[in-house]
Amino acid sequence: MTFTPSHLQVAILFALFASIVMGIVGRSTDRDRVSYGIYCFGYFLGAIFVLGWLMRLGHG
Amino acid sequence: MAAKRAQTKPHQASQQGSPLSRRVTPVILAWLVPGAGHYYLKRPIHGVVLLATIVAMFLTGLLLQGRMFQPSGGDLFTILMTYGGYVADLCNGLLYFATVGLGYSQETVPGALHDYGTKFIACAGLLNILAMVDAYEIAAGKKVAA
Repeated sequence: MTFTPSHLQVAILFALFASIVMGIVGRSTDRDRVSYGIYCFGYFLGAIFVLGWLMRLGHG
Repeated sequence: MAAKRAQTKPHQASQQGSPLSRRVTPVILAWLVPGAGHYYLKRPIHGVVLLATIVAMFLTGLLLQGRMFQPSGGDLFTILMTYGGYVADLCNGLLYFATVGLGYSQETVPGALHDYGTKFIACAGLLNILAMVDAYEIAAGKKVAA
């Protein structure tokens, strides 16, 4: 079985998994869990975008 | 009597035995099978979501041909990385033992994707530590039931 995602796809997959777990364990009510999970996922995506561009610009 | 029984919080039904065993049992279950601690504490939906997420992350790591860390000596960085990675891999519980036992543990393969796989497997274990800590806090009553 061949599974060859791009770096971006792997990073988004990682963000998704980590956000789900952090959402469940990080808050006490279901509403807060969903909000916190989405919040974490958004920050992960933002970090991926910013760090990706920094590496792109820094690498020349 | 029936009304009093209905008022009992769901997670209290599993609070039998000594205080220590009430706290340790869900942690051990959560270690062996991700999400099992939450299921034991009468939070089945959280348990199923944790199980699906952590197993998916672990299997993604295997699909990327990630390898399991083996403790090894050498310089400080190597010791920290291999021992830390080994502990993180171990935190996957039965997933780790099944993978190693059935021979699905990969040899070191050069390439970025395989490296991502290795990190996915280790991070699945680290996320399971979060689930274990959460199970402990619920069992110890430090986290309000929702």
